[in-house]
Amino acid sequence: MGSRIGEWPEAWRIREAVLEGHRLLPWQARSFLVSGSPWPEGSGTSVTNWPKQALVCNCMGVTRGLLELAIEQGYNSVDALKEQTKAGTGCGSCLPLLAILTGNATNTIPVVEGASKLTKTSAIAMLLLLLSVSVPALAPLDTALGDWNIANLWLNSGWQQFSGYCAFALSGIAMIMSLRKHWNFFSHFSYPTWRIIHTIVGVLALLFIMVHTGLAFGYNLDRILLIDFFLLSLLGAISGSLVVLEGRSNNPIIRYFRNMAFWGHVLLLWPLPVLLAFHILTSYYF
Amino acid sequence: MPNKTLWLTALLITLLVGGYLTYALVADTPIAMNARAVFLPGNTTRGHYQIELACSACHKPFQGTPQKACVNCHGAALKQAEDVHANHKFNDPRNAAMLLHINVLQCVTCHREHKPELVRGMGVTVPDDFCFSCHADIAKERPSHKDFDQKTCASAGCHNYHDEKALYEDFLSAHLHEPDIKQPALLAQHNLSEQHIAADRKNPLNESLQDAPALAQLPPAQLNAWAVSAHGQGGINCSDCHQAKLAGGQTDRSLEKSARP
Repeated sequence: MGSRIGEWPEAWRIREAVLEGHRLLPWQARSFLVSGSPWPEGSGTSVTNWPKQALVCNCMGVTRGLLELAIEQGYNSVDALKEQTKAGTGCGSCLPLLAILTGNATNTIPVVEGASKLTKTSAIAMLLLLLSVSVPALAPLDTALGDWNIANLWLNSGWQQFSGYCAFALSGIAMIMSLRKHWNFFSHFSYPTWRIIHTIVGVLALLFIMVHTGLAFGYNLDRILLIDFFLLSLLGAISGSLVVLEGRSNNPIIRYFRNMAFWGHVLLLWPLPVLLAFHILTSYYF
Repeated sequence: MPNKTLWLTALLITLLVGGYLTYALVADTPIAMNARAVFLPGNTTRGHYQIELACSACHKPFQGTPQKACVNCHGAALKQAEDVHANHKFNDPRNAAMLLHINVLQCVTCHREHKPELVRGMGVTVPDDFCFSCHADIAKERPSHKDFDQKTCASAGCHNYHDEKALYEDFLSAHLHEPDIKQPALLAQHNLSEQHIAADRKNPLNESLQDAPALAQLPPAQLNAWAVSAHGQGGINCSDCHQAKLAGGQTDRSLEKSARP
């Protein structure tokens, strides 16, 4: 195989897949046509073999080619690369790759800052989601008497507006995190600190949503909005957990799934603003 | 994926979804009217099912549901029912304080729509004990009510919030302090077997005593079914209900009981 097509770093993987009789899944076929490899960049091969245009640092959008250029110019330490290219100054998950590129790779796994906090918030988020989908909608009030009842929180329009806008504001704050990568203004906290803030704020938003809905899934547009928000939160919690796992193992599969969960998290965010806008608009329009 | 593509895709999704929803919200075409179902925050009550997607029948943009929308359709019926909780009662300053408990000037206070989980009988969406918000002291005025459950005002069949015409209040208040049954009782008890004099009762019948005309040729199973039924056991024979036909096709009136007027 190699004699006909030349150097092919993934040849061993292809050979193994052929031997084990794996099928080429539709997205792998597509990926093969686009990038020449059925697997996402970096999921199997060493970063030194990645194509020049492959992104090493997703946060700052730094390619392997650019890093190579910097190394050729003498910036051949992780710190120098960080300083010069900004690679690794976002979430920091590519620092081991930078170490490999500069030839300073060690077998020590980088410590994930705030790992225990991230584990806790991700676990709480998953627990809240599990609670939301498994506990049936809270029963309506059985009495019209008495001054105030906790059920007013999800039955009374005023309280619902309060919890709704709180969840809205918290989601907005959580979104600031994505700006951390692009705006220097936010860089006076480290990325891992922002990540913790992001998850705490996300969990709070989830709590307000649970109160807002009384654990009911609603109907039509409301239901679509809620499911989108729940899936978004779930993928956020999963990617949080995988970040922690990444700090314990160098397994590229974890990096791959963490990436997938992260992109799912981003993807589900896209329809959220417009759905939310119409949810709020129609609450007053009708 | 480059950042620019990401932002553009997100923008495109927003524009597409937003465009569709805006069209559904404001356009007046039949397609838009059907698409408007996506905004339903819950099904309407059964009574409003047919106008569920005619949003403007009840809603005015950014004004909620004006009281007029309800009255336009239901006003005449309320007038006919002599609504005992009509608005004019609460425009009286002496009763106005009651509005603090429940704002009864607005139909939607008790008849919320699109809240299927709250709906009780007659499209009411407040708990059954809502009467006690204002009538908590009912036992003072009507001692007979002192042991009544707070949730049974309507469900026991006595009261209807809007229409109390079925209750003859003058009669009730005139006899309120009398015993439930006069002594001696002036009316017989509602028990047919006790009213019916034993001597007038008929003896149970069996297959051999049936009086169907010979022409009828009834199958034994059918005869047996009659004999063991309440009719056979209560002495009700064929001719008590059926008229036989003569050979010529005319009705045999020889067995006829006294003719009805």
